[in-house]
Parts: sequence; structure tokens; C-alpha cells
Amino acid sequence: MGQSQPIERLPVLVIEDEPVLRGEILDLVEHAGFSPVEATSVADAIRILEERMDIRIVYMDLDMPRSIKGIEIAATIRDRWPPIEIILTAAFFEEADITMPARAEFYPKPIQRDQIVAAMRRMTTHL
Amino acid sequence: MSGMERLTRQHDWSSTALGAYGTWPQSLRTTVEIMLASGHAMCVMWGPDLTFLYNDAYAPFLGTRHPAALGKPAKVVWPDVWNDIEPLIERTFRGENCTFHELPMTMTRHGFEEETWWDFSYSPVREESGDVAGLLNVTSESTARVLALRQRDAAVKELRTSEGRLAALVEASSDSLYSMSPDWREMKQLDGRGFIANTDAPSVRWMDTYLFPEDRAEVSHSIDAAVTAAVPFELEHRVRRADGTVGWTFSRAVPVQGTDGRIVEWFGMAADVTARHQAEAALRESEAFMASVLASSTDCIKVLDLDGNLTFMSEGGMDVMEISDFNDVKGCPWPDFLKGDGVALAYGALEEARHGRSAHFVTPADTFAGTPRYWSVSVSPILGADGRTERILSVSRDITELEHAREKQQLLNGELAHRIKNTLSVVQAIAHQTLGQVTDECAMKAFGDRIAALAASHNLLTGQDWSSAQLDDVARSAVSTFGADRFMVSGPSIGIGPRATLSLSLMLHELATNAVKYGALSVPEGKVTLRWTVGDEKMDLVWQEQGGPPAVEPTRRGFGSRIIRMGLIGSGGVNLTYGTEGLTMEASAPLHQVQEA
Repeated sequence: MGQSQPIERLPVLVIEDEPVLRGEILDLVEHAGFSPVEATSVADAIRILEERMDIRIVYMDLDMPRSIKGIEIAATIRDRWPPIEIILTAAFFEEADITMPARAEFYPKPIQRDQIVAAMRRMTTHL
Repeated sequence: MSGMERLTRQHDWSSTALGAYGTWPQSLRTTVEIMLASGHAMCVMWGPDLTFLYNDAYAPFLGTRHPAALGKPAKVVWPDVWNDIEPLIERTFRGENCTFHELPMTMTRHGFEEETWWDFSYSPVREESGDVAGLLNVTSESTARVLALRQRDAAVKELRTSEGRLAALVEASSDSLYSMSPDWREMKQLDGRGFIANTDAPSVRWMDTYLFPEDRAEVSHSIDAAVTAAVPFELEHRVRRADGTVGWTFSRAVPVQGTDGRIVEWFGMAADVTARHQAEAALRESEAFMASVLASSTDCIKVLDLDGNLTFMSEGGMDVMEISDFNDVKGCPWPDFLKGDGVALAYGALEEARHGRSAHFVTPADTFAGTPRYWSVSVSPILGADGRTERILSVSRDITELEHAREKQQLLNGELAHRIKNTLSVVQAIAHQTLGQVTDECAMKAFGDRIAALAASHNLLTGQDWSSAQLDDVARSAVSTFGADRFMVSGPSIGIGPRATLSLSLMLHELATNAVKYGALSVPEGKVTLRWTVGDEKMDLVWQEQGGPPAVEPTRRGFGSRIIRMGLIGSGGVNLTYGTEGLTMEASAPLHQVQEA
């Protein structure tokens, strides 16, 4: 069929336990033309990543998992799913404080929406 | 037959007043016989001429007159003493018994001359008619007695001299003198010499005068012991001084014995040792005070030798260092107790101390029992009389609690910064969710960016416990998201307070935002110079845009414009110039306001 189909929206996994922030970032992801997938915890996120092979971008709040260092989870994601692009944010850390996984990008809280949108769009060109 | 007996028998008596031996009356014969037979020195003077007869023992009295004296009249024999003895002879012939004592005689009896003393006793001898016809002189030697007496006299004289010396000595001393009855119940006399009161007449109430009630038992005990053992009494004790105040005396008394060996009195001297005692008490008090200060300090106070080895540690210091026996660490090099940088810092401080300077540092160190602690350490020289460092004082204060509190505070500061930024994120999210549908995209972005600028400024403050931030950091942080390569930032290092940090962060954010929209940063070749200077009392900051379009004063003053005009400390002091090269902003503010917390 010759008619155009809407471009399939790319799924972006949002790992954020703070409801207001999660709502905001889901809204941002959707407005930017992506398909948000929400995870409220690290365990939740790992399970989703294991089930859904189509996720190519992860947005993760490093402040979230208080019991485990968020940056280690990010490193784990990078190791287990090398193609996945990672966007990190944190209030507790600054970029200089952490060892960033390869290709990951960091935006301190409070995030500037246009920077996150630009980052996601830039990353889709890599895919 | 003795010499004198033979001489007497052979003598031609007929030529004497006595007449031939055969004609002598019985009384004369008997007297002469007794005399010649006696071992005592005797002589007889008989008849009208006082004819002289003597025995062997008497011969030495005569010296060279012997033996010619035999049969001579006494007056002829003793012309030299005749005047002395004639009256005695006369009295004897009148029937009296005359004696005289201790007549000195130089005699050669044992081959050498010696002084002798004699007692003479003249006894009348009556003849048959009852009249006194002669005189018998019986002598006895009193040399021994005389010599004994002489020795005694000499001894007495010597004693007097000695007593005089003693008296002079006693007089010269400032000590009080006293004499006591044998059992010490009575004080016979005391010369107080101004130190204590005098006792001129014997008194049994002397303790009332000289002793304080609470001291009596001790003094009495010592007295009893001395009296019982008859040994010198010696005691240092408190005494009531002449002016009634408390004094101290060193009192010593010796027993004086009578001829029968019994103690007749005690003689003593009491020295005023009040000053020494007070000095000693003051010293003891001072030493006790210093010791108690050292012991009660919770600082670890140590004295080191010049090589830094431990020679002393305070009691309280052993407690905090958990050392039970100083010998365990005595002589050990002190720096080796420290950890990390502390070892090098300690050796450096010792070197300073050896040169007479003090040093201070903070170091971790384990206690002797292995408990990890933090210490604030002061090392200072202990100078000798010559001004050179003799020993080294090291005082360590346990600041573990403080250090933990500091660490905790840093954690809390980090947590607080995190929460502020998180909260600002939530505020931003709520605002967007609430107003996003009814507000244009630009306004929402401006809001988000301002919130982000505010959050970034907080970041800078947490590094210094919310008290200050470096202006350079604030400036670079504020413009970082606008492309650092477009800015030339320069100025001296200066810390600014939290208020200035917030207002400057927001101001620079607005200036940069405007520059991107309308100013130098709206064209690729535009630049911004940001520089500041710091004077004694004020600081100036200049934002100068170059290479962009000519600046135009905005017709409407919005929130951003107001933030810029608030200046460095939120109260103005801003001058804006809209030049053809671009905007120039000059802001200045009093330094103390920029820096105040």
C-alpha cells in the first residue's frame, strides 16, 4: 500500500521513582515523538529490558535507587545491552563526580527540557 | 736502824741545851722514840732553845739543812719562816694545839723536784711536871688534795669560760630558749626573742600559751617519748606566735642531768621556721595545683626530648590515649604514633620546635589500644634558661567527635543540595504540567532555565558549607550552558556570600539569555567579556558584548531586565550602556556586602 503509515514511535524507557518527575518526563518523551515506557524501580527496569528487545534509549535518574549506586546500574545496562543509549540525570551528583558509561549523557537536575529532547533526537540518528 | 735514828743516837747532845742523851727526861725520850719510829714526817722542838729533832720522813723538808739541822735551835733551823711560826710555837707551849694547812714545799723525793703540800699539826708535849717542855709536829701530805682542788678550780674556770661562750652563742642566735621541768609539766622559763611570747616565771599552763589545741596531742606524744627514753626532744610543729598568728618552729631540747644521773631539767631552743614552712607549703600547693591541672586535662600533654622521644605524658593524656602504663611508651618516638600525613607533619613540627617555634596540625592517630581518632596537635618548644629549646611540649586534643560532626555536616550539606535541586525539579515539573497547556513554549523554557540557573548556584555554595562560593566558579557555571568558548572570563580570586551568589547567577543567566536572543551571542562571531576587579572596599564587575549587533534598550522591562538591574547584591548599583558594539553592563557593590553570609 502506498499510503504512509505513521513512523513507529521509538520506545524510551524512563526509570524514575519520583511520581511528579516521572509524569513530567513521560510527557516530555511523548511530546518529543517517542513512546514512553515507565519503570518505577531498578528491578522493574531490568525486567522490562529483559522482556522488551526494542528499547533503544534509557532515561534514568541516578538519585533513585537508594540501596544500590545508580551509576552501577547504568554501567550494568551498558554492559548487558550495548546498543542502548543512556541519558542520566541526578541532583546528588555532578558529571565530574561519576564515571560515565560509554556514550552516556548527563544532565543535572533540574533538567532543561529542550536539552533532553535534543539528546534523544541526536541519539535516534545513531540507531 | 734508820738514818735519823743512827744520827740521833750518835749526835753529841751534851753540847746542846738538852744535855747528854742520858740526862734526857723520860718524856723527851719517849717522844723522840715515837717520832723516830713513825713513818709520818715528824719533828720535835724541845727545851728552852727549842732544840730541833726530826725523823727520816721529815728530812726532805729540810733540804740542804739536813743533817746539820739536827740538834740546832729551831730558830737557827728556820730563820726564814721564823716570824710565821714563832707565834704558833708560843701558843703550843701555852698548851694549845696548832695546825696549819697546805704549806707548799718543793721536794726532790723521786729524783726530780716536785711541788708538794703539807698539813702541820703542833702538839704540846708535857714533861713529868706537867709543864709543856716541847712540841711535836706531825705532818701529813696534802699534795693530792691540793692538786685535785686546783684541777677543780681550773675546771670551774674553764667551765665559766665555756659557759660564757655558750651564753654568747645563745645570745647571738635568734632562736627562742627555754627550760622545762624534768617531766615537762612545767615551763621554767622561755625567752621568746620576739618570735613567741616570753615566759618569765615558771608556768604549768605553757601549752595554752604556745600551742593550738589541735596540735597538743602530737606535741605531747613526742615529749612523752623523749622523756621516757631520756633522749633529746626534737619536733617541728605549729606554734602560736607572739602576735597570735600561726607560726612554725623547729624545737629541740636536751635533758640536763644532775650528779646522781637523774634529769633535773630540759634545756631547749626553738627556731622560727615559719618562712621556710610557708614557702614549702606554697611550693607543695603550687606543685599539687600543677599536677592537678595536668591530671584533669583531657588533652594528651606530652614532654618530648629533642629527638621527639616521649619522656612524660599527663594522666589525662594516658586516659585518652588508652595507655595504662607509661613505661610501655616511654622513650618511643612520638611521631610514629601518628598516621597518614601526621608523621611528616610531626617531624616538621619537631624541627620547628628545635628552632624555638610552635606548630599546629590536625592528624589521625590510633590510641595505644587501636581506637582510631583525630587529633588537633600543638607542638611548642620548652626553653631553657639560655633561651634555647631544652625539651618539646606536645599537646594533642581529641577532635574525633568534631571531625565526625564535620563529616556528617558535609554529608548533610550534600543531602540538602540534592533535596533542593530535586525539589526545584519537582517544582519545574509541576509548573510545566500545570501551565504547559496554557502558556507558550518560550515562557515555559525561560521558567525552566531560570530554575536551572538557581539550582546551579546552590551547587557552588554547598562546597563551602553554604557560606561562600568563588566568583570565578559562579561566573563560569552561569555561562557554561551558553558555550564557554564565547566568553572571556577574568578576575582575581574572591569568595562571595550566598546572597551575591544567587543574584549574580540569575543576573548572568539573564544577560547570557538576552545575548543569545538579541546580542553578541546571536551571531557566530560575537563574544562576551566578563571581568571583575576587587578594591579595598568595593568590587566592580563588567559584562561587555562585542561583535554583535548594536544594542537597543528594550521598550518593556520584564522580569529578566529587573533581575539584571538588581545587580550584584540584589539592590542595584548597575549601569547599562547600549553601544553599537553591543551591551555593556557595569555593576559595583560594597565588598563587605558581596561577601557577607
